[in-house]
Amino acid sequence: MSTHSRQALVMIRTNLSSLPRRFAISASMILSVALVVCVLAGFLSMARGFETALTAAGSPSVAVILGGGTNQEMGSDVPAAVIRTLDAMTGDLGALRDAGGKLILSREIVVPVDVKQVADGTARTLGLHGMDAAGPSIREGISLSARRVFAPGAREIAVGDRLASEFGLRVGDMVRLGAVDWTVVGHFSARGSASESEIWADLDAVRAAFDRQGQIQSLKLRLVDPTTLERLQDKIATITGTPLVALSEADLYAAQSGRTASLIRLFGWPLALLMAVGATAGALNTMMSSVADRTVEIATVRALGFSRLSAFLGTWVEAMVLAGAGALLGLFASWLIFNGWQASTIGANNARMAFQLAVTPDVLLTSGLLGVAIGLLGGALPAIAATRLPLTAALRARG
Amino acid sequence: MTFFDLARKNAWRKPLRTVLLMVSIAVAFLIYGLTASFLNGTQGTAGASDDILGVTSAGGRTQPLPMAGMARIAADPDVAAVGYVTRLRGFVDVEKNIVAINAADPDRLLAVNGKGLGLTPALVVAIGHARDRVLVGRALVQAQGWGVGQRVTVTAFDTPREDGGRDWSFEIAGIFEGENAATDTYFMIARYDYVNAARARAKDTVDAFIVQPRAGTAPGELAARLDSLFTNSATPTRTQSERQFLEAFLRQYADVGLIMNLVVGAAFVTLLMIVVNTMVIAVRERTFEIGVLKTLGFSRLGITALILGETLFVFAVGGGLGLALAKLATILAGPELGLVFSAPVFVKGLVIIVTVSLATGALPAFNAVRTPIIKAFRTR
Repeated sequence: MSTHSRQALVMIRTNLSSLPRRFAISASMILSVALVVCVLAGFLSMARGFETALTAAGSPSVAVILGGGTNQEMGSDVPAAVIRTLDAMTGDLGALRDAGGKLILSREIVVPVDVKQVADGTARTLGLHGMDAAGPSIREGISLSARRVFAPGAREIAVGDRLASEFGLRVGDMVRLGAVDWTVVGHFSARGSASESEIWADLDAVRAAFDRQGQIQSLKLRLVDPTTLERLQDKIATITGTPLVALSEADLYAAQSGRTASLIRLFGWPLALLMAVGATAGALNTMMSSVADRTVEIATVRALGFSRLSAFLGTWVEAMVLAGAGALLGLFASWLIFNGWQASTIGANNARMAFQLAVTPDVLLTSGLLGVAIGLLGGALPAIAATRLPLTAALRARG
Repeated sequence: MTFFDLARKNAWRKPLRTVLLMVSIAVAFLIYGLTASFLNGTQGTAGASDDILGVTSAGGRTQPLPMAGMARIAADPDVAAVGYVTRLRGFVDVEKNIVAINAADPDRLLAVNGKGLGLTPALVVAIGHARDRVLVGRALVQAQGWGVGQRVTVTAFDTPREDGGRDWSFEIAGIFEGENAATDTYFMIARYDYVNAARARAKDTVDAFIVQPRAGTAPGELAARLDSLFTNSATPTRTQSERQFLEAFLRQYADVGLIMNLVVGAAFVTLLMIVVNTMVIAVRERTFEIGVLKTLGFSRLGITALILGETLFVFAVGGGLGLALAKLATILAGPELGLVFSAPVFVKGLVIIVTVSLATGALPAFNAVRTPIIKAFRTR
């Protein structure tokens, strides 16, 4: 081992073992780094959780047809003539047909409705999805966790598991949506995705109750496999009169989640960076006090022949150890607090969407790196100062 | 040398350290200033009124109410004026560029909420010249770069026209300013008669009635009475003040207030820890000098004041800088963000500066006062 590295190791060891002398200020640096890491991890995990909920909701093998030249369900309108034309198409559409050769499709409509929460009596806007009987089976990853879905034509609803537990909607309950009462006949689970924030009911019942006669917002079809979407798009292009768009459910939801998730990040990053600037200033102070505290020792070993590099590394590594400890503490705390935290916001169709904050490895990595960077920057300047201490400082030692 | 000079000289004893402290203080107050301006701005509820009531359907804010309800509301003796709105949401040119249109009867709107929106009789006359004219809010005009007399086309999301199209064309008749900076003016006001005649669905219904209670009436009681009028009708209603409505609406997006408080709290905890520790060290360094001051006959009060004065100085410079930067940021930010750095936000910031600096200086001052002179002299 070279002299340099041996000297550096000695300096690092003495630096770290002198930490208890500066306990209070070192602990405050650790805590400030931890808080910065927590803030960033909180925002990033919120954005990630939102994305996860929507990505899980969309399947690449379910196609959605929207009309009227829009890429969102809101504002889309599919004329009835288009559905008749689709039904009459005999060639291979790329979508599944039933035993009789009839296209399996579900006509859908979404109405935002207010439901009162049991806990505090505040009203929340939820999405009531009206669909054909084939609707639930076209969707992927859905399993009925209680009873059945709605019966055609009846004012019956099936609610997602998450909604059911939050709003206390048990099977057999009556709920007032709009001006009429609906009976809860079933619960469904969708692997914790955004679909669990939805209410499903029969298309005609919804249209009748909300005065939307004849309106269809979108069509859902089950693709043979994800690659046949192109064939469907080609076929749809031959229908003239109304501009139609066919896209996979996964793409539709990804487009919806992109904006909100980036908005959350756009909010979180500047705040975390600002706090990091403050914490870096704090780290500089902490390390400068460390250098001041050890002035005599550093000057003495330098007079004994230790290199400048070892003096630099001693202080710098101390800073990184402190920042690293802070980052670890922050990551552990944010994992403990944020992972699985229930949050909700207004998603597509102006309806409430619940999701869980997700503290994923990449969230941990990004926020942890920011914490370490604080130590890296905040430690470098005082470490350089440590190398420039005049050797005469050693002579000022007091007994 | 005056007392203040002494405190200032002490503060600049290690200039780099003091500057760093000021930077972290400035950052904390910048965060405070920005979040407070956000909550206080047009995205928050500060501009909403407690006195104006909105009557919406109990089934949800998007469910329509029949126009006939207006006569029953107006018949209540405590109602001074009543208006109605129907809302259109749509986009201009690209789907991301979302605008909101409130279709209303301009004369009634002027009577109910003319002051809050900054409507003038001249504007109402201007919109009256043709049925497809609109008044546009200052913030929206600035963001889109529109001018008076221009024609704009809004593609509605959910309000088709009778002819099957979704494009609504309007001519801008005037610009309304809003009562103050916190008023949301990122929308436009159209004429209800035009929108109602041309839309395909939900004719002769409104999204909300707006009610101005007679002076001296408790809005809460009136709200309950109005709701009881419609309890057994086909369309039960829910009456809330403008502020209640907005708060409930915004909370559905995210509990912004809670998040902001947590972030500001985290920033201040970080700051406090750093500053307290640094000040403790800074005072410990000069234990000897404090011993000298004591020998010279400085009272305990004098020494406490000296140290508190020093922290106050550091906080005043740092905090002032942070608040100034926040003010600058609110000026530079676009109208969509709607940041408003008002006088109350500033005053609250000043109060925090003074309180936190006194709290921070307390521990080092206590240490300094307690150190006996003999012990102080032994440090050198």
